[in-house]
Amino acid sequence: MSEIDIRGEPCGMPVLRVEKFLLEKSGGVPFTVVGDDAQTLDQLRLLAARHGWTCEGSPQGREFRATFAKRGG
Amino acid sequence: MIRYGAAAAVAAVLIVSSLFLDNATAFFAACGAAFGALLQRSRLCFTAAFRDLFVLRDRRAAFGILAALAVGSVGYAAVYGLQLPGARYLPDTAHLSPAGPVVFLGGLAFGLGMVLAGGCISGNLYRLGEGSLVAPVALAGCIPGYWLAFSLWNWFYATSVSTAPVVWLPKHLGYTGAVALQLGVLGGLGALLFWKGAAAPQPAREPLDLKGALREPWPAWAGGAAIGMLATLAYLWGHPLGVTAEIGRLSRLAGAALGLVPARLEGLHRLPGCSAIGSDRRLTESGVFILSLVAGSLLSALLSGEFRIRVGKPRTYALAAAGGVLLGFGAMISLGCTVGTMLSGIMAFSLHGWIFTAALAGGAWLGTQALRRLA
Repeated sequence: MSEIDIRGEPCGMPVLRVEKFLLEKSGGVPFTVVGDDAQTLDQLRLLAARHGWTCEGSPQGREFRATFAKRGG
Repeated sequence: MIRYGAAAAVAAVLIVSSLFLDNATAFFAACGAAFGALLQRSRLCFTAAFRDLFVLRDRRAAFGILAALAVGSVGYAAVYGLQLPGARYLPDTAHLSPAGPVVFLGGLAFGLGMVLAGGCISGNLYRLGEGSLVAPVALAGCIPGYWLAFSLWNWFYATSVSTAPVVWLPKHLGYTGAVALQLGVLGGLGALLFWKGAAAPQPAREPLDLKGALREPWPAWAGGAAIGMLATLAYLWGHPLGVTAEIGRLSRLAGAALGLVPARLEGLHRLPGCSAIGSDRRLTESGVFILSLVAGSLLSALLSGEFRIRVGKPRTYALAAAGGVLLGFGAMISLGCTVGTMLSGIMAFSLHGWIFTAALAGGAWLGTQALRRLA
């Protein structure tokens, strides 16, 4: 499963990187995201819902790991 | 426990240092600390209000800004009514500045810069309090931006600023008309957000008690409404909220020492707002405000457990520096930033605040497209 590391990215960039991967490179196949800001996880859920995907994950200490999967896929 | 001890130490420094200030400056220190804590707790980010709306249709931060503007507009109108019945003369302490193409250009540069830098000037100040090592780079980037703006200022002033009108809505519409128009526009924007924006996922929350209020983020609209009240209180004391005057003043001093700033900046001392005017004081009220803002954010981040040293990838620092230059340039020629020109300008019913905000949205959209290419 592909993994995107968005730790240390400038504010705003994490969502845009995941959006780009989701739309252009994922091919509809599930992938994981590793991040370091709980607020970003909240935004990733919104991004997933906007594009018909699900985003499951929870904070693990100071970081989080989230799995994206196409809804109904 | 260490973080609670550190929080107690920060609170003690704030309180003890206030004892050495005169009443007006101590009040400004309290306002700065409250402003920093409110921004941190409600995650009210002026950059996110635009960028997240464009990318995710996330309307939460935008609602926060609208709430701040609506509450502050009513508050300012009440203060005006007490101090200036009849709206015949321009209030001399409010941020009323010329409405013309220069403030538009400033808003455009500032909007682009804040998206690249990952935050506006107040956003980077509160993130500094949260432990960001990127924020100081963005703030330092403002200095050459100020120098560039200073070098062009006399031309801007001669060709546009000196002849641009200062449009204060109550003078033309009366207080009732101005409040009705402004609340109508803000309400319309709110309705548009409600209609077109996306509802954010609602995580399960425990019942809100004191511990929960410290740990969980506050809704952006609540933080915005509190900022509207704080802005009214600050204006009642004769000091509209603003964060860039001291940064501008120090940039001007440094630039003058290096021979990068013209000896005379035409008309600047007569313009209200966060003008970079000289002072023989080592630390102005604006300086106390921004130091307190960082301290307030630090205190809030420590209490909520959100303080940590945050490092970025190399390109994060490069973007912060480039964005910082645009932030400094935009703030200088607009006589303020998202706080001094957008919040304090619009709350004061000044057309220049609206022009700045419209351009800010355009700049933020351009910045979002630039980030998309880099993603």
